[in-house]
Order: sequence, then structure tokens, then C-alpha cells
Amino acid sequence: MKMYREMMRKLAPIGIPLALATLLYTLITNGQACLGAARLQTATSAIGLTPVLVYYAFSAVLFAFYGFSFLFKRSSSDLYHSMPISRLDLYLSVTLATVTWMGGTIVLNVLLTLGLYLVGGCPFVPVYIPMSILFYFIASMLIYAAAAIGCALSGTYFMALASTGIVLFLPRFIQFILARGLILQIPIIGWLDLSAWLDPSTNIATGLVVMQTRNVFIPQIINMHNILYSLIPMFVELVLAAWLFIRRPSETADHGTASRGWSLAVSVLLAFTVLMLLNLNKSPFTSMFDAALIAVALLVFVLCQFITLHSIKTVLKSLPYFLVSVALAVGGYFCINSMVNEALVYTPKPAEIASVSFRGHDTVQGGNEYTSLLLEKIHFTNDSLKKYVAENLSSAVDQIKADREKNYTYTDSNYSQYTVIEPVSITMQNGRTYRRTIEFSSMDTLNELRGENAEFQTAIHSLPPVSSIQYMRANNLFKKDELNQLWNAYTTEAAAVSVVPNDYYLDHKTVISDYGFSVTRGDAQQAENIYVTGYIGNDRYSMQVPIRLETPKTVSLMMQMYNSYAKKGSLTKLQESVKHMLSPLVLESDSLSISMDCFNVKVDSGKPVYLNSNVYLSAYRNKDDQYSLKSNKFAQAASEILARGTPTDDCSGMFVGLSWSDYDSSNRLSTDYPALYLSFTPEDEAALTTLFSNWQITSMNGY
Amino acid sequence: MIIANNLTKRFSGVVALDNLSCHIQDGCVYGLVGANGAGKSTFLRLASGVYRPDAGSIKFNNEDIYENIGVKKRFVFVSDDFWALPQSSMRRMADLYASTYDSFDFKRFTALSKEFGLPTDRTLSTFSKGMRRQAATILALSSCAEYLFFDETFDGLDPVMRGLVKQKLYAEVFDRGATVIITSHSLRELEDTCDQLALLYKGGIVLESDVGDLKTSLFKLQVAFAEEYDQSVFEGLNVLAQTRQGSVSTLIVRGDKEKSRALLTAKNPLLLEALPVTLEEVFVYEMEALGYAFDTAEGGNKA
Repeated sequence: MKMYREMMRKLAPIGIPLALATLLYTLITNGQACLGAARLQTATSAIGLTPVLVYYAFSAVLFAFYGFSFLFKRSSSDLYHSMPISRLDLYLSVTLATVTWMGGTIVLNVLLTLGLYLVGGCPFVPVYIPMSILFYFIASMLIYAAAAIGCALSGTYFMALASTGIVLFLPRFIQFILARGLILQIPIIGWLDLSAWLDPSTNIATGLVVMQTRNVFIPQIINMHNILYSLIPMFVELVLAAWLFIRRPSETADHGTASRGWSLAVSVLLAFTVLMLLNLNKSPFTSMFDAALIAVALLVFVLCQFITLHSIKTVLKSLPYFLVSVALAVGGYFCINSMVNEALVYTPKPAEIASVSFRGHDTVQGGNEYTSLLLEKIHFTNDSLKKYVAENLSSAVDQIKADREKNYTYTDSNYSQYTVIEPVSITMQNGRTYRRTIEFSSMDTLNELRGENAEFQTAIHSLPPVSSIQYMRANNLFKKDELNQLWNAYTTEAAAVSVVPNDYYLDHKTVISDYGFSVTRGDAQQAENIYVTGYIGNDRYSMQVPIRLETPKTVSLMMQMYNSYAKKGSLTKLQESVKHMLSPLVLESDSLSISMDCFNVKVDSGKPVYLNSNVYLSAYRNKDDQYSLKSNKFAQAASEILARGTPTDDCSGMFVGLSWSDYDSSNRLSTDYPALYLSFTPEDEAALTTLFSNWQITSMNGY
Repeated sequence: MIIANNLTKRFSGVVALDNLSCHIQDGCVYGLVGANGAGKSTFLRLASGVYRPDAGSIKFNNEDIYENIGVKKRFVFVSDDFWALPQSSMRRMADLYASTYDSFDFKRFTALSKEFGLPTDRTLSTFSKGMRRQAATILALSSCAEYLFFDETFDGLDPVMRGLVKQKLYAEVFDRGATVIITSHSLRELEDTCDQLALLYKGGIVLESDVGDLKTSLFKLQVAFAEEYDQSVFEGLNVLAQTRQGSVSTLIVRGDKEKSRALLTAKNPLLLEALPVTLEEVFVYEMEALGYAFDTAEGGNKA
């Protein structure tokens, strides 16, 4: 206990400044996020809660090196080892002092974050609080344990650092290179498809490094599975460090390592680490870069040996051991190839597949759509879907085999706007599960086949429960109670008419109008989006909910809300602005931008369509330019008709959502006019239909 | 009692101690003398439980010392290179000692610091080599351990401080019954300090004896005869060394002084005088007799 207090005191020069620095950082960043003007509206990922701790975890190396610094000098090593304290107690004292300093700092940072979130009234996932503490503590102790092993094996800071690097990173570096080699050659295997032994996020300490370059791991690195798994290496390494520390001879101090064997192993492994980089190429050992890399590896080997042995003669004698590094790197190459070949063999027949499940198309990019949360829990067993998955997988494998050098996803000759990439888990009849990210030739076919499953139907029609929603936004106008009113209207109406809110799961066949441009027809016309985010249990989600004409009451409510924000005399003002822009007195920097969302426009014999007509007038443009001339003409004609419109909340007929903004450079004043929904007389509707259709073609052609 | 039996220690293949055996009695000042690299520091580190023996054993009251906390509580070791925590003062180091030595006496620490004239709150890095050595001694004495191991402890001390340290060591032995084990490459440093002396040479003890016995084991005789004489005249004497200047011979003799005098007196010498030998001379002649080289206090080698 006395030595523990002594070590607490010894580590204080590191512990106190780091604790203060992290707390200050947390206070500033989370203070801004929770108490600032742009207050946090959506729950962050667990890692985003106290981001400074990602870096703080690595200060465990400092704690270990400072706590065990007496091991690197003969006089200090002799002093500590001459004292009446066992080596185990000495090790435990440093370790417990580190646990206290680091654990305390982590807890304080998380509690400060919690306090700021509560004071600011910002949304957060409550379970992330204890999980963060557990995660950062275990990550820190994993790093500390590796550093403690490095210290116990070494007698100098250099060798301790090299040994720490090897213990902490080498196994995961090898794993990372193998995984990357596999993914590089098999594009249908993504980072999230890797089996547990290749998943770089399971070890949370090294996962923190990997996530810096692989964003897909950020949302999922803090999870109980990874935390519990990491507990095992943490305990094993802490016990191993204690065992090595107890056996470490005091005379190792000031010498490279406790044994020449470890010194040689460090050199071999460091050189091997460099050589493993060769496997970042599909065909290693073939370029000048590879030759340079081998030279660097040799240099690393020689330098490392020289630093520990201080004898050129002995270093030269040890040179043959460099071949061990080369052999290990070559072994890595063969290991990658073996995994690649095994992955390419896997093309199951539909009958061999027990079920398939999907994580959601957005998860490939690190997304977290609400529908994907529901989707990943569904096991599809219908033969038609299993057959479709098997065919697409087989087709992908064939293409990869045919040309290993190309990335099949983007060179597929069948690629079209309907092609979709989705991560799939294929569970075989024998219980094994394979994860692949497969390119499906048609998202509509995929959805149609998935649609045979009742759970899928429920999932795609589902909206997040209102109690789980932390943040809701539609535009910059609507206030919270208006949003709630809109959401309640939508959920009631959507349930009644069985709406599929997520566009991804709707039919994607392009509808072409008689004029030749693609359109959205009938109920599919979309008036607004509501963005919601929240969490259910540990899972954060986000969702973009489109308000389409299929829910007319909601659309009507939305139109009322918009119109209540309309500025008086805005239609007259629009006419004046257009006139001003067309007059010779207009200043060069003046501009006018008009946006017209036109619904239920009868452009052809089909169902009415949605047209979006935008026009931008600027004196800066060349007045004789054809497009400028047409823009001016269109704006003038449109403003005249629009001025005759009357505000409406009826979405059954043709209506226009008009919004515009102008910039008066003489007063340096920019004015925005929010959407105003208008209806027109049949004559004006006909005139607008012609005007908008022609403008659509003009815009499409660019003149 | 500390007993080393065939104690062996190697460093990277180099034998530092080779089958060393010795007994260190309680309540004495035990001196270890030897040339640089003889194995003195290694022995001290083995005796104080810093190093683990490669072969043989070193025990305290029949118990192993290495990692034996019960034994190490009674030992304190002062290295030849005193180390202090970064930016620490004597006071801070006293806290470090007190964290492991239950017997650490802060009153004694304060008193000794005053006596040595060392500030306890000044950063140790600003101390001179001699002051650091004194600080290390004060900390060791304040731990109130029963066995004190000092490695080259008089190095860097001025004569006054050397005297004060010696005085303190005597006091430890006489007042508390402590045992002091002290190493030096200088025999003169230990001559008037130790009760027992051991001479280390190339990792082994070549001579271990009570200092009083050592001084009386050899004596010097100066002798001259009226007639010419040869070696046969010294038959019956155990002569370790002999020099002759004119008709006067100087003999270093081992054995009974009176019997030796009587043997020569019977041969009617013109001159016969018995002279005392210094401890250093005893060691030199004993070593020469054994065929070893010995590093003198001045650091030169004598064959």
C-alpha cells in the first residue's frame, strides 16, 4: 500500500497534466457542442462522446515507461530491487497507480461530458456512458500491458519502445495486412464482412488506430462484444507482464534486452513488419518500390541489432537471421493467397443455403438507417431470394476470377442505376455463416424477392417510435411543436395508407414523360423531408422520411404551415425584383434566384407529375448569352402568372411551392422568401404547364 | 550470518564471481577489497538480494536472500552510483525509503542531515558527487537496517566527511550491533575501518581473515652478519620475500616471530631487528606468494 502511494506520487507529474489537459479539452469541445449556439441535436456515436480519450488511451505507454523508468538505469534498478519489496508488489504498485490515474481521468472526463449533456439538454445514448468508461479503461490497460511487457523485456527505452510496439501492434498489423490483402483481391468482402479473427476492431486498443483510416469501424468499435473480447488479452498481457517482471534480472538495466534471443527476435520482427508492407500489393516483390522496401527492412534489422549489440562483428554474424524476416513476409503472401483462393471457392448452391440476411445498403458507408436496424434482424429463407443471392455471388466470383487485377464492382458491364451493393450474411445448412458485400444487378428484383417475407414488409413500413426520437428537422422554419404536429399527422396517415417511407425500398423504374425527361408521378411526388435521429437501446439511427402526396392530409398541413410564414406582398415584390433585374440600371452584383416546386402538372396523358423549375438571374452574366435571354424571359413570364396565384393548402390539384431570394448589392442585403404554396385558375395552370415544361427542356439542354 | 557457498554470477558469458565462498559474521565491519572488475560490487548486489545467483548460494541465517522480503527488511544497500528520483530532494527520497522500510526513522534522518550539513529540501541534482554520497549514506543509516552494504562508499568524500562516515559506521556496529559490509579498491581505506577483510581477485576470494590476525601473521626482519653469507643461513624460516643491500638483508617472514628471532640469534648476527608491516604490505606479499597481482591504493599493479 505504501509503495502504491509512492507510485501514485511518482506518476503524478504525468497523471495531473494529462488529466487537466483532457478535462479542459472535453470542457471546451463538449461545452461548445452542448452549450454553444449550434447546440448538438443528435446523439453522437459512442466514440464521439469523449473523443479526447481516444488519444488519452495511448498515454498508457507514458505511464508504463515513467512508472517502470527505474528499470532502464542500473543504479535505479539496483535501488528498487535492493529494497524490501517483492518484484510482484513493485509491479502491482505501478500498475495500480496507473489504473488509478488513468481510470480516474477517464471517469472524470466521461462524467464531465455527462454533466455538459445534461445541462445543455442535448441528446445522448445513456448506455454509452458506462460503455465509454469500460471501453477506454480496457483499451488503456491493454496498451499499458503491452508497454509493461516491453519494459520487462528490455533494459533501455529504445528496446522497450520497440518491444512495446511489437507486442501491441505486430499481431494486429499482420492481421490488418492479411485482411487488407484479402479485401484488395476480393472486392465482395468488405471490412465489415471479415470473420472475427480478421476483424481489426475486436482488439479495441489497435481498433482505435485502425478506425482512423477505416471510418466504417467508428460507429461500431465501442460495443460490448469488442469490450468483452479485449478483456481477455488485457488480462493475459497483464499477467504475462507480471511474470516477465518477476523474472527480469536487475542486471538487464542499461543493456538492450534481458536476453540476446529477444534482442534478435525484436530485430527480426521489426524487419518483418516492414517487409509485410510488400503484401499491400497484389503482386509483391515485383517493383522498384518493393526493392526499396526490402532495403529499408534490412537497414532496420541492422540498426536494431547494432543498437543492442554495439558490435559490427556480431551484427554481421546475425545477418542470416534477416532471412527469417523475409521468410515470414513470404509466408504472409502465401497466407493471403490461400485466403483469397478459399474465398473464391465459396459459391454456394441455393439448396446449401439455410438463410440470408442483410445489414442494409447504407452500412457499407458507415450509415445507420432505421430500416437497416430492422432489416439486419430478418432471416430470409425463401428459395427465390436464396437463388438470387447465390447467382449474384457466383457471378461476382466469376468476374473476379476472370480478371483479378480489376475491381469488379465498377467495371461490371451490366452496371446500371438499378445496380446495388448490399452486405449479405449467408448462413449455410451446416451452420457456417459467410459475409459478403454483393453487387445485385437490380435493386427492384432484390426488394421484390425480399418482399415475399412478411417481416421485411413490416420493417419497410415501419417508422421509429416517437419515444426514441431525439432530434427532428424539416426545414429552418418549423418550430418544435409544428414538427411534432407534422410528425403525428404523418405517422397516423402513413399507417392508414401503408406507406414505405424509405425510398430505397420502393420501385426504382424510371418514369419518362412525353417530353423525354424523367418524372415523378401521382402519389410519389414528394413535397418535403423530415429528418429524424434517435436511438433504440445501444443503436443509434437516422432516417429521412419523405412527405409524399400519398399522405395528402400531412401535405396539406405542411402547406398551411409554410404559408403562415409567407411575407406580406411577396408576390408583388417578386415581380418588382424581376423587373429590377431586367432593367438597365441593375448593378453587376445584384442577383435573383427563384425556385418553383410544381406539383400535379399535367404534362402528358399519364398521371400528373412533379416539376422543379429554378431560374437564376444575375447582371454579372453576359446579357446576350442565349441562356440568359431565355432565363430573363422565363422569369418575367413566370412572375407575372405567379403573381396571380392564391395561397392554398389543397394538394389535390396543381399547385406550386414558390420560394425565392434576392441580393441587393447597393445595400448589401440578401433576402430569403420561404416557400409559399399557390394554386391557379385553369387558364394560368395551362400557361404554367407549358412554361414549366419548356423550361424543363431548356434547363436539360443547357440553353 | 551471511554465508556464500560456491557463489557464481555471469554476465553475458563473462564470469564475475566464480565459486566464491565466505562467511560474514554478525556485528562486524567486513571489508571487501580488490581491483576493478574483481567482483566486489557483484558480490554486494548478490548479498543484498539485487541479483539472483547463477550457481551456488548466498544465504542469511540459512534463508535465501533474493526476493526474500523478510530478510531484505534487515538489509540496506548503498550503490556506488546513488540514484535519486527526478527533481527529488533528500526528503522525497526519505519518503521513498520509508515506503519500503517500516523501520525508517525520520528523526534520525533529520538529525543526520543536520550533522552532515545537508539541506533536505534541495534538489539532489544540484548536489556534488560527495554530497550525493553523503545523502545516500544518511538515507541508509536512517532506514535502521541491521545489515548495511556500502559499495565504494568513501569515493568522492573529503577527509573530514570520510572520518564522519566511518564514525557513523562504527556507531552502527557498537550501538546497534549492526553489520557493515563495505567494498573498496583501496586497502588503505579499509585498513582502519574493518574487523575482517577479504581480498577478491578475478571473481574469487583469495584471502579472508581477521584484520588483527593478518597484521601479526607476517613480520619483517632486518639481519646482517660479519662474514659473507648465503641463503642457507635462513634455512628453517618461512621467508616470503627477501631483499639485500650490502650485507643487510630484509626478510618478510611468516610464522612465530620469537622462534624466528631465536633461530637467527643462534647464528650470531651483527644486526637483527624485527619491524612491523603495514596491512597493505601483508596483502602484497600474501598475494605475491599466491602468484596474484594486486591493485594498490594508488591504482598501480604490483606483481
